[in-house]
Amino acid sequence: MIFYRPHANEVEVFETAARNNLPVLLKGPTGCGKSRFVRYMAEKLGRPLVTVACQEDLAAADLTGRFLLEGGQTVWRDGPLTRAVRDGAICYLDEVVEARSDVMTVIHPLTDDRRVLPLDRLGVELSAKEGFLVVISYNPGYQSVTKELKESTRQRFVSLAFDYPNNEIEAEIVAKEAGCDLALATQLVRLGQGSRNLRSHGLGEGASTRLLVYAAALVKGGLSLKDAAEATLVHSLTDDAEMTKALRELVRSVLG
Amino acid sequence: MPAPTIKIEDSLKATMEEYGVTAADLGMEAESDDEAERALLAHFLFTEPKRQSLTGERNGLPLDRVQRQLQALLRMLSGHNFRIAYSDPPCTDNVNVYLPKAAPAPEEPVTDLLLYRVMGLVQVGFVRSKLLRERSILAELHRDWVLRSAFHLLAARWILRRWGDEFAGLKSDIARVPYLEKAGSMRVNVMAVPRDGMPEAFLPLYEGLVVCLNWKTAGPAGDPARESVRRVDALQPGDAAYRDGTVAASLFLAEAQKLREHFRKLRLGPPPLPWYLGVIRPEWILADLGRNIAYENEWKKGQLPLRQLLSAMARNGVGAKPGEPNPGGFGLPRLGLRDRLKAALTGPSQSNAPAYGALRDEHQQKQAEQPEQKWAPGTSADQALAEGEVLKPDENGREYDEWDYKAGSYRFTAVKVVEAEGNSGSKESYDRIVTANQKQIKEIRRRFEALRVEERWLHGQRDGSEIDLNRAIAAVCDIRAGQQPDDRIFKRFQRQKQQVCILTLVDVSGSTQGNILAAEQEAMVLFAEGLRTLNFPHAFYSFGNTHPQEIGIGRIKGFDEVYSEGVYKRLANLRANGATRLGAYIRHAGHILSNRPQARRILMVVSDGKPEDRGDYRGTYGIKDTAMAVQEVSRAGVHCHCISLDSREDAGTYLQEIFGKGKFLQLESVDSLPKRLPEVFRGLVR
Ligand SMILES: Nc1ncnc2c1ncn2[C@@H]1O[C@H](COP(=O)(O)OP(=O)(O)O)[C@@H](O)[C@H]1O
Ligand SMILES: [Mg+2]
Repeated sequence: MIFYRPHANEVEVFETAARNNLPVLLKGPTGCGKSRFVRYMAEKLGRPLVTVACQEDLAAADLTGRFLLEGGQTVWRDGPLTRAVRDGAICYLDEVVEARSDVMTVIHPLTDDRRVLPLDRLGVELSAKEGFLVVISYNPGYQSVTKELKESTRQRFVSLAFDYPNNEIEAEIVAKEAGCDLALATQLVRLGQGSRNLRSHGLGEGASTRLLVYAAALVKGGLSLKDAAEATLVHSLTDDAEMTKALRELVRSVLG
Repeated sequence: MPAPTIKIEDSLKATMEEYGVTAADLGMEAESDDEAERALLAHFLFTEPKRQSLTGERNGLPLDRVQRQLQALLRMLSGHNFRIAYSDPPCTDNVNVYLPKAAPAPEEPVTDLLLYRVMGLVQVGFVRSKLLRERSILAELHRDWVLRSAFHLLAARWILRRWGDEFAGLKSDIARVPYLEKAGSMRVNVMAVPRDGMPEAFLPLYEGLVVCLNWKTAGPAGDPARESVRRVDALQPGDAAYRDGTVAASLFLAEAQKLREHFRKLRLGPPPLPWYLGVIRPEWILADLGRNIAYENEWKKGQLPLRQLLSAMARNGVGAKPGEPNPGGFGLPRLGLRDRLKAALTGPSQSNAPAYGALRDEHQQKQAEQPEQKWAPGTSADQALAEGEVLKPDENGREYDEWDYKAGSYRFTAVKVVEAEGNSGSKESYDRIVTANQKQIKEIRRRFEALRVEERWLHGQRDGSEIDLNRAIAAVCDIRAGQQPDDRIFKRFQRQKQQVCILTLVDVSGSTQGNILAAEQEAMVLFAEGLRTLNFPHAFYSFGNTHPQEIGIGRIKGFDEVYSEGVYKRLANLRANGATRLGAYIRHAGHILSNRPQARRILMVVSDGKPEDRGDYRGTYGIKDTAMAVQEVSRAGVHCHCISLDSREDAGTYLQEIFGKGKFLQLESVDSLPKRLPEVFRGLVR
């Protein structure tokens, strides 16, 4: 089974929500374990998982499906959402605010007690199979004038707020994921947390858990700690010359 | 026995010297003690901590070259979001960390940066450990320089040791500094003190902090100091006094009190401080407390703030009655400030508030009239002085109404907005910003490039020059599937007229002085550099009014103005001055925009705080009027957006009230403004 280290009671909350067919919203900064958590929960609940990474061009039709021409015939192809509805899967829409707004409109009837997906083109209304669940995620850190989750949408979901875990848990995760020893992981976590102090004060976001795992993997692969930190915690976080210097200083201060 | 007489003039002078305040700072000619006291009080209450500079050679590494880097590092290490501002010697007011503008000559970049880092660590250590939070301790320190010095030396070794224990890399940095000649020059207040001839009783206090003093071991006279140092060094990570700043502070205070007695017996003054350790300025922190309390309560609670202030000052010994023996030995002079102030401020009025307000208004007026020359990164003070010009009105102005929410009606023609050319200066500062930000500008231009939509394919047309293949296929699919197809299957090439225009209205009110203004300036230049490659009609204006009814708006670049020498000069030489009567400014900007032929008119307001001006234009009144102005201009087809540099958590509430949900962006840090402004614009236009 895939490794997931719970931070708090999120597993319990998710399980209960799933049992009651309540859709779930995961919010939190990038690389803090949201996707991992969904994969883990899908395995735990024994349900298939359909993941959709949302981006600007993603329209409702991409989710529901469309007619295609195949050998002179028109054939209907299910989109990922329709597949999930039919299979009783967990449908995970990652970074949902990025998608076009009509995406939310098709999601709505699936999130309340109707649990239906109208397919206008086919002229049918699919009822979701037992086990189907909508999970969406978004990163409130990318605060933007134009993109924001609507209040009415937000209120349709059970929300789980994610953040980077505390020192010990995060070190444990890094050690386990990269297969390195705990002492190394602890040092990396201190660096990561230092950089998070600059979140939206010079750095968009601090180092994610994912980045720390990368750094640990590089060290395990034979790079020196300094070089590994340089390649991940310094250059992956910023292009700005002065922030680069500051991050280097941080690495030096922590590692000695 | 007759009471000892102290001439007030002398002690006042001494106080002013001690704080580095000159008569000019206080805006007084004759130093009548009465006037001077009020001025001194006003100075502490209403002026930002003064960034003073010591005389002497300061040709080392300039702070502004490393300020951003240093600030980022210290923020990451400490987890506190303070700003670095400028003062010599270094100090902190628990909000910002003040470091000298430049290191002493000669310039040795590596050493100087190291020195800045450790100076910063000491000050951040004070902030982070909350050593200077207790009012009672601050009051003690305020009263007595000997106590303050001893406390400082003990606290600094504790702070530095904790940094070293926490970060291995810092430990080696900290260990190097005591060997640096420039770091270890000794001072009492701001006076340099020769290092040889330092009394033995002091010597142990410098152990490990200034190495060149340790050639001599102190005899028995040094015992108490040795003992205190030992006690501080003996603290172990498990001890409460190691972890908890409040516990530590009382320990240091107790030790310092013992040392004071000892030094007094030996007839010694305060032990001098090594330059890199900076100074403790309880008066800044107390004045800040006073200022905060005063601002918050001022009109709401009548005389309360004055009372709190007075009692805070009494605790500091400032307010001892004339003739009474001064409780703090040779601490602060007794000026009898309390009684005089009471008399001067209360007058016949029942409440102190109006008098207090009058004092502040008067002070601010003075400040506004003679803008103080302050250092800000990126601007040279001399330049600003030489080239700065007051607004030259070049139009008769336009009158606007103001919304009075209490009366539920407009105050007709309440303000007149006069347009004038914005402040100008040298083109150098423009070039400097451009050179320093080459990469960002390239990036902005690259991103803006995508906005060039003058020529494009219009998809989904009922008729057009070519078939839109994707749509055609979809239509065929629909027909085959027995559905009603969408017949909009053509596309058409179109040369589109520019439909967007934008006016950026930037806040240069007095409160932006310093970091904010610098960030705004950079943002304006970067934004302009991006915009000029596109053909969006755009304009830049600045606001900040010195008069409540006749308010000036600075034209940096008008819509029809082409980029010329003058525009560059104005863009890069913003000058902070005045208040924020925002409603009128928005109305005027709306007026300018509503005359534009473009269909989409965007008004981008960059501001750092609430709308506030003299009189009743503050609080709810200012907010309601500005909100009304936003509604008015939006009815005229102007989309008003705001980027706010007010990072206080509750600022969202008034911003939402004024601009509406989703129409403002609250930046937590001014530093990100140059990057975010073009981004927000792109998001709006795309
Ligand atoms: N709680 C956790 N348990 C296990 N691994 C984690 C955890 N949190 C983060 N990770 C690690 O961080 C990586 C990134 O997490 P991911 O779920 O992709 O982040 P997100 O979806 O929030 O951007 C994962 O691949 C995993 O290695
Ligand atoms: Mg993810």
